[in-house]
Amino acid sequence: MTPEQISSILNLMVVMATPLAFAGVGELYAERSGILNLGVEGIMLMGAFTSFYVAHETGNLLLAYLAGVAVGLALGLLMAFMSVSMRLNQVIAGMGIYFFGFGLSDFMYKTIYGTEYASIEKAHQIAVPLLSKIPIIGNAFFVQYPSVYLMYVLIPVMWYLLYRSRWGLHLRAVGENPRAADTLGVNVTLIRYLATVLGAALAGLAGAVLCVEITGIFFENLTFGMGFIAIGLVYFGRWDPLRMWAGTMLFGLSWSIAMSLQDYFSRIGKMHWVYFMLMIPYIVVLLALIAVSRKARAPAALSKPYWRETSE
Amino acid sequence: MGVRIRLERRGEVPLYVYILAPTGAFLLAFLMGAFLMLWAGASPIKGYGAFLRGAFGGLKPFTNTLLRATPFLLMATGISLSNRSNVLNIGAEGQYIMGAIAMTWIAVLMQNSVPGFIVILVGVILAVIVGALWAGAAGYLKAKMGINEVVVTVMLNWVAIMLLKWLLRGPLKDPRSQQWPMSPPIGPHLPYIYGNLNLGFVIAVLLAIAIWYVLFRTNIGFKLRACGENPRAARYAGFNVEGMLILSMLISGAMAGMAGAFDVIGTFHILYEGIVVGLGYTSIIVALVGKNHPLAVIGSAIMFGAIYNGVTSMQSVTQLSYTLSKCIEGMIYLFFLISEFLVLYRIRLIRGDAS
Amino acid sequence: MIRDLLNKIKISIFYFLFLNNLIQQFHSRMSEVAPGQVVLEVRGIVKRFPGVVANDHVDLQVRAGEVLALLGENGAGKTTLMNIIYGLYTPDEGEIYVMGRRVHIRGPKDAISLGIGMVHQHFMQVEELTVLENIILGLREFGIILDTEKAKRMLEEAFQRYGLRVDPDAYIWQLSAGEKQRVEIMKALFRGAKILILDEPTSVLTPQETKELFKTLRKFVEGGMAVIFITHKLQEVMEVADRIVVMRRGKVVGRLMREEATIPQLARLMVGREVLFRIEKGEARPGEVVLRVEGLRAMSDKGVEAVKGITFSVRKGEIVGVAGVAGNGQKELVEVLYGLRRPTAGRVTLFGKDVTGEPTHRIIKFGISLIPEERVTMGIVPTFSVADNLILEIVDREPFSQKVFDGLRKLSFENIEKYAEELIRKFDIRTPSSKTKAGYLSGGNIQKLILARELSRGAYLIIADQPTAGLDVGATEFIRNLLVKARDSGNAVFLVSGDLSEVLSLSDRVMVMYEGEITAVFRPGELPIEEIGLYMLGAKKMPKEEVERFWE
Repeated sequence: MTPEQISSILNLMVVMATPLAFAGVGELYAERSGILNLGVEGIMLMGAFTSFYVAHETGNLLLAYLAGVAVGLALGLLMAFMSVSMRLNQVIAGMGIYFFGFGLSDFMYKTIYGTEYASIEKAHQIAVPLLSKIPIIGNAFFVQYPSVYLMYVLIPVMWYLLYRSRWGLHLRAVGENPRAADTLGVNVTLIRYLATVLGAALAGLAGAVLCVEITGIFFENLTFGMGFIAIGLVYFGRWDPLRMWAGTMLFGLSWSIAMSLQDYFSRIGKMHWVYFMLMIPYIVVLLALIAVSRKARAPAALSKPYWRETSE
Repeated sequence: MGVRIRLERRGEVPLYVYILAPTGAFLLAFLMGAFLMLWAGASPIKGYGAFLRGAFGGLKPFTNTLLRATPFLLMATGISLSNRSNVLNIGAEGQYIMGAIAMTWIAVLMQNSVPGFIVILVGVILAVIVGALWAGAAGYLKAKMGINEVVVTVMLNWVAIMLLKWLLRGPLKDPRSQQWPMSPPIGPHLPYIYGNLNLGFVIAVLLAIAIWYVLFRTNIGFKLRACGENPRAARYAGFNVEGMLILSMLISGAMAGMAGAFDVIGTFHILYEGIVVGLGYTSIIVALVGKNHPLAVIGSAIMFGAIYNGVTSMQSVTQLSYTLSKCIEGMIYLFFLISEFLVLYRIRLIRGDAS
Repeated sequence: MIRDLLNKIKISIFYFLFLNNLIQQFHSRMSEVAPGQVVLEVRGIVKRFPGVVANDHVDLQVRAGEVLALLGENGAGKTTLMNIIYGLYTPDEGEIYVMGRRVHIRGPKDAISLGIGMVHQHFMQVEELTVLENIILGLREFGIILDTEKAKRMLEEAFQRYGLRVDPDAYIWQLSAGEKQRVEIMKALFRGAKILILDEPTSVLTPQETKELFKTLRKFVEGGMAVIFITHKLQEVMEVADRIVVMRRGKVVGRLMREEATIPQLARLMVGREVLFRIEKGEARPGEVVLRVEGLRAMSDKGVEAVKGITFSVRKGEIVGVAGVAGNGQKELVEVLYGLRRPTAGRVTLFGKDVTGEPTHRIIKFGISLIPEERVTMGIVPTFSVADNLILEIVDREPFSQKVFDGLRKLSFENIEKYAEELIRKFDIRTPSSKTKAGYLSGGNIQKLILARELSRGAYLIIADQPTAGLDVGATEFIRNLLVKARDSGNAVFLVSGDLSEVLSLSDRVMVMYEGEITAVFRPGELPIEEIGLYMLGAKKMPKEEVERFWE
């Protein structure tokens, strides 16, 4: 392999890891507060569609990103309302969000655009001065889409806040033992709402990233299960943002390698093998989950609703 | 002095609440569907008219509804069973695809050399086994390693989808179909009862009844439900909680695999990518609406068959995308959750001031 | 626009300072209170839960410089009242006054800022966080990015001031029960609590630790604090209280000074009838050895050895009791005996037959019964009917099911029903019908259900783990008598209990467990309580040979 090839594989790895990292770290925060949001995939789909629509109508990509975040926020509020206020079974509520997002995004797309081929102008990769000149690495990591640079900053910051800040402490306490946190005046409801909404907003952003930076078009189910993969990677990362981040890179790499082989297969006239290769990322995630399963320990209050008043 | 909202658990729930709440959920979902239609520029009255005619307007549409209900019934019964042992099988979609692949593969391999019923028998058995393994793997990982079954089954769904795409363009491709990814036509089919309705529906109903019997009338069902309701107490009672979990997933997957096989030899008579429309996901909603009770699932499966069938005929009248059914589904699901909640709790507004 | 914003910010800063000022005033007033002044008062508190009135017009006054004992049996409404004062529950009616001023306590936050601190019976701690993190949780003064150095410094000062100490960097799960309680008290003091509520604080302590705690409480009230001490133990009330308030069924039924109170009088007030514990227990007539355990070892969930080479035996017709502070390997020992945990070494025999490492369903067949520690989560399936719960483990037996083919059996609802009706009558389980969901029953009746099931399925050995924890006197008495009756009818009974007096009054032979080892063996009455306490703390230990000889 030539250095250029390695560099472009790594470049694609980072690109594919970015939406996963946003969705993953958002889900991680929600889960740390005790809310298992299985609706990530649906939120990503809605985020993707909304950002596509805004980009298509206005041509303004910044607005498109924001639209993705906004729709994530709204769905996050719905999820938080169902799981925190109404205390519904979180698995079922999350699936509801998924079905809703899955159906609505597709229906709106088909209604608005019908069968016409609609596309938007994708965001461009921007080179960072100096850093992009480093051989191999420069091209891979520093000639990237805007959201990639956001990811570089966001994940370490989220990691730092989780372990070093007051909010992070409250978040972790609420996810482990909400009653204990409550007795010290920590607002369990507020923290869970914030974490869920933040997580969903990031999932919406992930959907926008997918559409605006990677595909440039919208189609049914364009997330390819990434929302669920993000949930899997939270498990893989054992609820630690940095380990989760490493997991997104692992998935990105396997996806990127599979895609890179596309050229090779089309050259030898065996295009269908591309699909065979596309099984690999999912199998990699499964194997990764199996590898860490013995060590994983979920937040003790994960997916358990909290009632302050229960009779003795 | 603000007003605060407080939730209270209802004691005895009157029967009418049990009936009104889900009915309300359905009506609300259809009402929202009407708004969606208006937004899309179609007349809801015309739309729902076509919907009703398509779903129930006569024997032929109704048998079509039952045909559509067959995969829902098979998969939702399986999902109910696994839900009862507290493991959520989101992978019915993948198991369904694997079952369809297994059936098609056997048919392509054998249909020119052996009688049709043998092809069907072997194909269905293989589909059942493959489906069971596809789900059983997730059950095993959950039981023995504590890996979340939702994530595993969804990953396996995507593996199945990619496998299908690969096969349809490679080993299972019909050489005469040129660039279209599809299998050769499949000759053997299930015996017809009326119109397009085949034996599959009857088998599905019988299986639902059998599973109801096992679940509520035998020791195995007793243990399985105990394991799902309170795994800890079940362990203390000497029940094999992990075993029950895996067993329920195996059965759940077997039924989804059977659904895939039945659709290939009963409905499509060919394998193509169009079978991946999320029937497995819908079946989760079917099971929820049927309250994980196999007999009630028969009713809810027919209802969802009607929605699918109705939306298809609505599509031809209003030019609306068939994905409207997905939206209505999603909303039925959400409203149903809320109605369940309202059945269990009473919402009271109280003044912030306690005195 | 900008001016508006600035104004808003100004106002909020002002408000913040002002509020702080108010709270500080409050605290300074608190520190100046004269001993004997009423610092907390509740009037006419009513709290209803579905089906019960937990507090029925309760009035209560607490004074600075005194320990107020709130006495009552389980379910009398003491904890509910305290949860209302601490803001965890909203009262349906009633008023609360702190320092003579009417207050609305909407949550623990309000309570904390009013100088109220509470040590809950089940510790409110996050096991996966450190001591320091638990103590500073919810506090604002260490900044958004936590200044742990400052926090540690302040904590060390506080430790010094109150003479309590715990390693601030230790994780909660590493601590003993006594240490956890110190963390809990420290949490309240660190927030400047002047009114300290302790809910059944001695239930996890050894006699020595209890003494130590009482001394600390004395020190607190001498410093001007007010302490509310919740308990159902009469002895302790007499030891530590200045004033006593007795509650029964949600009502205050007596208020007295310690000097004028006597134990029989308090007992009568608390229970509402004359006699307290009436266990009809004659001499034991031990027979052959039923259970024999030799050199048993097992790991805990955390992966450390929890049972370290234990040897003992239980005979027919006797009760062998285990005394010890919870968390010293009792749980793991019970789980190993019942086939729920694999031992790492040693042998368990039942009537001389090796049953080591057999799974639970085989253990059940061999004739061992278990009354588990947590009745609702381990003992019953709450969503199943009472009848289904009564045959939970024996559903595979005739006549409750008939064989269809191998492994599959058809349930016989008629026979299940008949059996259930019989047990409900025999064990006096109060339930609307045998079809009622078991989760709807009261704690005492759930425990009766479990006992009915476990005593009726023909076991030779009955393991009872905390059989009366959290029950009222009536149910406790009923269940203790059942265990004695089981013994007298020839069963072997193995009793594990955190309640030392229960172990001593029921057992024929007693072993003390400390850190997974047996530190003492004796017959009740042979050793004074203080000495038993030393064994429970691990301060004293009998030689291994003596322990093993005891079981010969």
